[in-house]
Amino acid sequence: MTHAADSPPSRSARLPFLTALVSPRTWKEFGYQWLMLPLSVAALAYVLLVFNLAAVLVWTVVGLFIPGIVLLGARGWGVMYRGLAAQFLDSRIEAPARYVRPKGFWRTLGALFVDGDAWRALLFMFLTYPLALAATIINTTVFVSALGAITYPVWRNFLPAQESADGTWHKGSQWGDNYWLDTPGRMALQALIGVALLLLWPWLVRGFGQLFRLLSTALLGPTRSGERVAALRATRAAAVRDADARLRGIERDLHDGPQARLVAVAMQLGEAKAQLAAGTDLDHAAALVDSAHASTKETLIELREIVRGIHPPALDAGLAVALETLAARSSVPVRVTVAPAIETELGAEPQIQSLVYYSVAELLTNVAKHAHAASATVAVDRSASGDLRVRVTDDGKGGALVVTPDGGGLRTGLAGLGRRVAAVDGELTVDSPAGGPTVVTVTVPKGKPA
Amino acid sequence: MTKVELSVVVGEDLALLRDGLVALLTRRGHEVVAVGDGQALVDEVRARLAKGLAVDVVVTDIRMPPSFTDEGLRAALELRASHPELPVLLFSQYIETRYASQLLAGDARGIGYLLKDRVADVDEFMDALARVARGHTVLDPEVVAQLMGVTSGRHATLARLSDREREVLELMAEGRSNKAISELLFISTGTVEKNIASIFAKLGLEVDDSDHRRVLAVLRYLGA
Repeated sequence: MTHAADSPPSRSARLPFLTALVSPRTWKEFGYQWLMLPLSVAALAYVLLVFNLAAVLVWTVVGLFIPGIVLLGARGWGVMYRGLAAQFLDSRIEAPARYVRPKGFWRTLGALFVDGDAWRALLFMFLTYPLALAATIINTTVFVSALGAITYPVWRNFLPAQESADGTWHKGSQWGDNYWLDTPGRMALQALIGVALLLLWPWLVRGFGQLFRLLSTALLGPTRSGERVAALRATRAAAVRDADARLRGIERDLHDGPQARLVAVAMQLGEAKAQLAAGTDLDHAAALVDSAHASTKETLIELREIVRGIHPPALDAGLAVALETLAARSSVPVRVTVAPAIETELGAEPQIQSLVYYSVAELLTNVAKHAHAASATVAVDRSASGDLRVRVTDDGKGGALVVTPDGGGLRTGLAGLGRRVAAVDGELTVDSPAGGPTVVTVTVPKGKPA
Repeated sequence: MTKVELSVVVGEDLALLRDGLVALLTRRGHEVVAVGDGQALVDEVRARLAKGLAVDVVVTDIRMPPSFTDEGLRAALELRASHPELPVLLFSQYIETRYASQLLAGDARGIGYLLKDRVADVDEFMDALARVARGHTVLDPEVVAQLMGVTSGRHATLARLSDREREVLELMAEGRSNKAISELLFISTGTVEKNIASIFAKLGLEVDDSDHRRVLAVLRYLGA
């Protein structure tokens, strides 16, 4: 929605002082203030209800759930107030983070009363009462007075004639001793004051509108810490999901790999043992032992792969060594550069170190699988602002996208990686024009240990 | 051990194990058909039965494609629903008490649930397979231990059993005969019978001659 005062821009830009009176914005804000007046009375009653209920029910403890839920209801009022602010004040206010009910009876009860967003909404409801009252009274009085002053020369004729102390008769108002507003000069002066008031009035209305706007933004919107908590909650959930997915993956690998192989080995050896005991078919027994032996060796290889996936032993020798090992295993030639300072710093932050390792592992896998690249580079350094920066560049065909799991399609791995990076407040950016080259950058802010 | 040639249908998604199992069974003269997932298993068994071919026992893995959760179990339940007499041996890498309970909720005759590890003792495995094919109930000691673990918390009555009675009950639940129990526990058959009578008395079950019904009664009581 555009401000009506802004369009047409040329006229209002030149003469805002004159057009403000007829601009829809002024009247919308005036209407808003009048609307808030009855609402604020109801809201004040609601605020008092919370405290009264709490005072009455505090002895029952369990009964505190009722004022608690009523308090939570202030969020509902907040929704309405934000709607009104959007409609009448052209002020879009983000909703605060959703209320999350904790587990457990007492914690739920406690959380009801420490819900900051509900309390702020309640405070808003309380403060709108005097504000709406003042706004409507002052604005309406000024408006009516201005109109009255301008039209005074007309309506004063209907006033009854009064006798002044000096015995003269006058029609009109008396200001002080014997100062009668009935000469053309005086009436013109008053009309001028009326016009001035009328021109001033829109700004008075907008001033109060601005107060409401500030109050709404401050008390009905999300707080910085609230936003932070919501973001942390989301990244934590993603981290838990990813950890769970990783565990499942390991379980699958173990179940279908080594565990199944060992069952087969046990079966073959059991059969060979039976054959040897019977002494009937020694050739078959030898074949079985041979096969079991081969299976055992394959099991060892599989186990090694799985162990490497859980924690790469190469990381113990430092990030550079681990990344070199990764690069050596890649089907695409990869050049790795790690700033020496980072190597030592990351030694003290194993979580970040393994995050970097897995990011590079995943990105190089992507390069090998999708990019059709002839070569790739991995660079780990610090950006100008001191953030840890990992860049994986390839000269492949480009066109890489971050695709969310439900979106389907190419390279869903990037979305998962992005979530993992977000869990440490990091960021994943992909620059991959069609035709390449592709640069994927992972940045982790300075001083953010996981 | 009785040498009966059986017609076996195997459901197992891992080729390594499927081939091993088929080789093992074929060498012992059994006729084997193997498939790789739950739906194929159901289709195969139904097709064979429709053609009048024998299916003496179905051996199936639990976790199979496409969802890798409990396809084998669902296939088994489906087959048992349409052919209640069909012997089914579940063959899995891990034990889920829930699966055992579901499977045993109906008629437990001709039901087996074994860990894949058991195939290492080939003869014992073959014996178990033959027993399931004959309509017995064969449960892995692990299954029994878990069921006991789960139920003993619920049923105070189980706690009243002596250690010896508990051992006997576990072996009974595995489908062992009195003679087998006496041999395994190095006690006389008379002692076994006394223990069983005492178990039944403590659990409030009527004594029955049949080994088989005895197992069922015990399992029912265990909440399986």
